[in-house]
Amino acid sequence: MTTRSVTWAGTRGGRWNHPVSRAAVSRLLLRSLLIVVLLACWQAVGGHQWFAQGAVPSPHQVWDSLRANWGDYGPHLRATLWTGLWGFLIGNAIGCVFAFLFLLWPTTAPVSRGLLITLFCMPIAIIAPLLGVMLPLESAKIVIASMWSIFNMQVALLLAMQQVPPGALAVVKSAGGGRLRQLLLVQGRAGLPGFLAALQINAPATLLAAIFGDFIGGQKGIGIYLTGLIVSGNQSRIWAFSLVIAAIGAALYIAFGLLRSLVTGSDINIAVAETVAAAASRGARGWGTRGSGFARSLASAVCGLALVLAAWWVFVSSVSLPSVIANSPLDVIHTFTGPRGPAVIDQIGAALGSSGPLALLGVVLGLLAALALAVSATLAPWFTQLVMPFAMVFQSVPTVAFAPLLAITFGRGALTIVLVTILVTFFPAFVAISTGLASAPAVPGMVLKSVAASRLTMLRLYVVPQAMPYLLAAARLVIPLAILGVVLAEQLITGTGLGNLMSQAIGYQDFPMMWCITVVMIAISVVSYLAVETFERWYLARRQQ
Amino acid sequence: MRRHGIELTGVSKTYHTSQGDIEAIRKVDLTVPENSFTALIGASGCGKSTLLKLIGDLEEPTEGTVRIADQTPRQVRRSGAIGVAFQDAALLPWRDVRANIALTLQASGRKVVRSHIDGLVSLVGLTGFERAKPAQLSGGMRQRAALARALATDPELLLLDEPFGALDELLRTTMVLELQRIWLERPHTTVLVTHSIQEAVMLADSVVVMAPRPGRVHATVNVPFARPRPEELARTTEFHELCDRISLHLAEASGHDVPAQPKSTIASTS
Repeated sequence: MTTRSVTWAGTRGGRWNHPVSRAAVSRLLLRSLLIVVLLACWQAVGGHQWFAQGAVPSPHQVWDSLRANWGDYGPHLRATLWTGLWGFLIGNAIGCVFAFLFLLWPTTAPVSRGLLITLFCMPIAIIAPLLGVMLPLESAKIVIASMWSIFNMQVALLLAMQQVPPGALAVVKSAGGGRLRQLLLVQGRAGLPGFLAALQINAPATLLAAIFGDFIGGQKGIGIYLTGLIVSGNQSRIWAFSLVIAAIGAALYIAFGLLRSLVTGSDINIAVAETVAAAASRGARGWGTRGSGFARSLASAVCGLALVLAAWWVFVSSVSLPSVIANSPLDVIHTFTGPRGPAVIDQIGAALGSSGPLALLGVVLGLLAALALAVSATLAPWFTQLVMPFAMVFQSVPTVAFAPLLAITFGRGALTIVLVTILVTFFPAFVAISTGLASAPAVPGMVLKSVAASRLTMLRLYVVPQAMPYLLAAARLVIPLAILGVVLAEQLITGTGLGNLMSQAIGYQDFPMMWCITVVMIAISVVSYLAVETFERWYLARRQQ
Repeated sequence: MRRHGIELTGVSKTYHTSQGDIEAIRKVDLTVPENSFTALIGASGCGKSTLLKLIGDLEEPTEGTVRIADQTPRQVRRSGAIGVAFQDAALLPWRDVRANIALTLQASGRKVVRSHIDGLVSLVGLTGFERAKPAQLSGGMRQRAALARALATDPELLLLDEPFGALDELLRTTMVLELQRIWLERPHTTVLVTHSIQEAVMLADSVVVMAPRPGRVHATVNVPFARPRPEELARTTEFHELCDRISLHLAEASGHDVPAQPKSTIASTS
């Protein structure tokens, strides 16, 4: 029941969807005031060089730079958006196919889930160079742009199609309707809000992925222009272009939000983690039968791994390149066990030792900050109402694009890597937790109030436990982003860790090394995802029993 | 003779789960005459809903046969001759009342005729709410729409699984009288699953009392009252006596499982 109420609360529009009223107008004024104050602070900081030895330019300087270079942006923006469009169409189409497949033949779900999670967790900054070698440049970029959309679309669409009123399918069946009619009359239409939500989430995500695709190479593209700017080190120009990227991401998010709100009559904004959080608590219910549940998870993990390896094998055999370049799973095992093995393991191990702790620290700090802020904001609802629209938009902005800004502001050290990870983690987690808390039932809170519980007790006994499922769902979702952020920061900024090792391997055309790093990174990413998911299910199941 | 009558012979149903087999019903024989109203009553877990699903081909029996007028339930269902309503009205939230009622017509591949739908809307007393979405309706109104949806295909067989189970006592009484009125206007062979003895006696020609674990038929009680049965009937001695008899049967039926409870105590409380 909780699952349903959460999702319907999301699709029907929540607390930020009031008709124009006096309160709405005053909120709008307050928000505008907030923007003006922030701009003023920025102008003060930038204009007086109080901060980071003047690395932060003033809005005025950024605006001048934007106007001066506006003409250069066009071709680069067009190139990336065109690639992104194709990736977006293909990725979402594949996601829809999987959603329908799982709905019609549920037994295929546990087996192919492994493949989808692997695609979702794929550290695209790492896989991009390899794909660039094996596929024609444009195809490689489109593949990369499509990767994230598949999983999001599959999860959101399938969940929405499963959220039909219980009994409606039996009513259609009783009236003589077959599986096709059930699909057309009931489930297909029920999936519409999920489909539109996935489009909204995927549009800015595809933009980010397409930017990473640009790093493979080529003449035009946002990523290519951005690399040039970082080399030039011109602060105003980096700021101006980063803001343009952010604005495009936000515009995509808002445009698809408008479309969704027009069709389903719900709120423009959406919490990315919300649908996934609901999906998790569904999974938790099946966790009760412990013995068989574990056996089944193990079996589907083995099947998933086999499917991923098979897909890899098919892919490298289909590209007609020598196996020195297009390594099969066996080739990678040979590299690890062969004469080069110990050296490769040492290098990757050392790189992991420097990147891993920083990434982990960043993710934990980002999640804790989000939890702390969202939970304490329940004590001052006006604060949540004030900042929520900004946070909603920010969760969709490709925050990784701000990595160069952080580098020029905070230097080329470990601090910047941690900050990039925090930045990537914070907004999705904050939005997910806040939305989760907003949709929480009010009665338990009233019960606590009736016995005069203090605010702190209230937080400890009710608000924090209520926020936990959303925190965990957000943690799962930001893993690939966090890994991406760290690798990017290492490649472009600090020149350390795994990102740097990968850059070297690309430089030396050391394909076996590139494959080893890629495999290790994918494994780490998928294992972290599954670890958080397992913990999440265990935690939710334990709560329900 | 029984053109749409239902005939169950030696029907058993066992569910296989990871925690072992659960025998939902064992060796049930039951006859439901054409155009009669039969109520199934019993404690939770006595398999009354399972029995209803077997008749409606929403489940298949492990053993035994179900025949509806010499046809299998599947044949009858595929011909669009079955209407169902559940405790959850199960209306589609994106369709208005009219479109929700039309769902079964679309599901059975029939043409949706506006005047036919509007006739149903007025039959169940929802005139004026044709354009309303389920979220704007009260619980009772949603059940009215669900009933109209079940009746839209003009089914020969009406299967109702606690359709008023989620409503409050007052609304329930009204809806029972409404169902009787609708049924008298368009009689169909009807099977009603219910927890309420009064509801069963008010509506049915015969009340089938079921015993739990495994579900089986314990007794069948005929209801002799002439129709239409007015609300006042529920305040007569005859009505109460019949209810008491069924209540006794119910106590006996679960008594097999709970021998610690002496029969006399239950009889005096009922």
